[in-house]
Amino acid sequence: MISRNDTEAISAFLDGQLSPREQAQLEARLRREPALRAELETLDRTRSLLKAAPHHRAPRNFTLTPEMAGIPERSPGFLFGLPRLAFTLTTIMFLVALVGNFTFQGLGGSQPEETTAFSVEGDPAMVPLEEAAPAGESAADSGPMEDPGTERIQPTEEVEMESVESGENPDEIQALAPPTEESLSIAEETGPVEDPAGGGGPEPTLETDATVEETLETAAADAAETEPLPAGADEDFPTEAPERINPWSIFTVLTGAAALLSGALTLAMRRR
Amino acid sequence: MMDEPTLISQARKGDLTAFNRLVLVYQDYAYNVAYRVMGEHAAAEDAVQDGMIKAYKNLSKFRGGSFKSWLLRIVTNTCYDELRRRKRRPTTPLEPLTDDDEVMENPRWLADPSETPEEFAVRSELGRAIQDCLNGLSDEFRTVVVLVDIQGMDYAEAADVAGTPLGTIKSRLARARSGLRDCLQGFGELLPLSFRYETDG
Repeated sequence: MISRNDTEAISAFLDGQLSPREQAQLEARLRREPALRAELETLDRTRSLLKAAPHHRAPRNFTLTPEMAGIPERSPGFLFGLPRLAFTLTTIMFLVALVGNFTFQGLGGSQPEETTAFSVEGDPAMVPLEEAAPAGESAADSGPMEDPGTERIQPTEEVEMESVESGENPDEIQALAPPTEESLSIAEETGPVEDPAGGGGPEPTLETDATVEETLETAAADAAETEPLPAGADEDFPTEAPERINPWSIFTVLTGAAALLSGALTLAMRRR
Repeated sequence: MMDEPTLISQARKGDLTAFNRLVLVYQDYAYNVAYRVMGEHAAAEDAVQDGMIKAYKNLSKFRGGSFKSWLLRIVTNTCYDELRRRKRRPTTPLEPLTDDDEVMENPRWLADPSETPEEFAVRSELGRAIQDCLNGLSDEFRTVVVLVDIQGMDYAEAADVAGTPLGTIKSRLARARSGLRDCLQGFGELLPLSFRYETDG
């Protein structure tokens, strides 16, 4: 007859839960007692049967929803709504900026304007020589051969402009400047100029002097009004004015960047 | 991939996602224990789900050690609570029935698609026999033999899950095995050939 203590010892022996001393004692008894060995065999078979029992996998996931866990549903709140509102507004502004940018470029708002250094038409100083010079003037006395209407005065003005910029006296300029046809014709009519201090001789008429002075003043005024040439630029060729800045482009970039930033912030807060 | 201590730490701070990761790791284990203790699939599902909810809400009481043992203890106690309630108010099992009006041990939807029909039949017969015999044990004896012999726990771990001393585990296990042996021997030739008890002459 197998006692409950023996069954318990055999059961523990099967699981390796006996102390060395207890295990040795039981092994000695197993060699001597067949009933004990039979008990050991049947219990071992039962243990094997239970180990072979089919394992059941979970038929579904037992993960918890926030409701199951008692977690209240979070309302978006002001902090979540603000980035989303900002994203919406900046996106609309970006689209408006795009339309404005295309419209601005379509109207040619950014085209540079070509200007010339010198304006010829309508300038009273730039009088065609065939009008200024009196009739009957001989060609030999008019200096180098030039086409009628050529702005013979132009080089003189250049010299005078440079001198004006450097602060020289316009009267001295006249004395240094090469004679023009007009001044030559005037000199022929008036004759040689005598030294006022020495007296004698006819003095230049006021009318003649006024005409020359008007020419000089007009040339000086034109020189002052003309824009200074850029450094290294050729005076004879037109230059381009700096391109106008397109405000719509700047607005487009700024609103686009703001839309991207607010969109990224909205996504980040949503994932939280 | 976060390790278990990190997941537990996050879950204790209220991170439900971290806790659900732990659920996915242990849910098969928990379900198998619950099914063997409860004896039926529907009741086992309820016990596991309720047990997981209780575990999440009581994470602050986890003092370290084996999270698996702590979780299974909660599931096992949930099973005991339901068993005690049923004893007060007996209920009819809702398991699918075979043509002979017997509770189907292994419903088809739980079948392992990789095993042959013969293997399925063997497993079904053996499983039915084992469960029938387990159902004949007391709740405490049944739990111990399920933890040690079916789930493969050692005595210390089983004592931790069951919440009983080591000596109690040893004696209850011996008595459970002896009772199952006598029950399974009664099935005799109904058991698969490889699992029959050999009798002398």
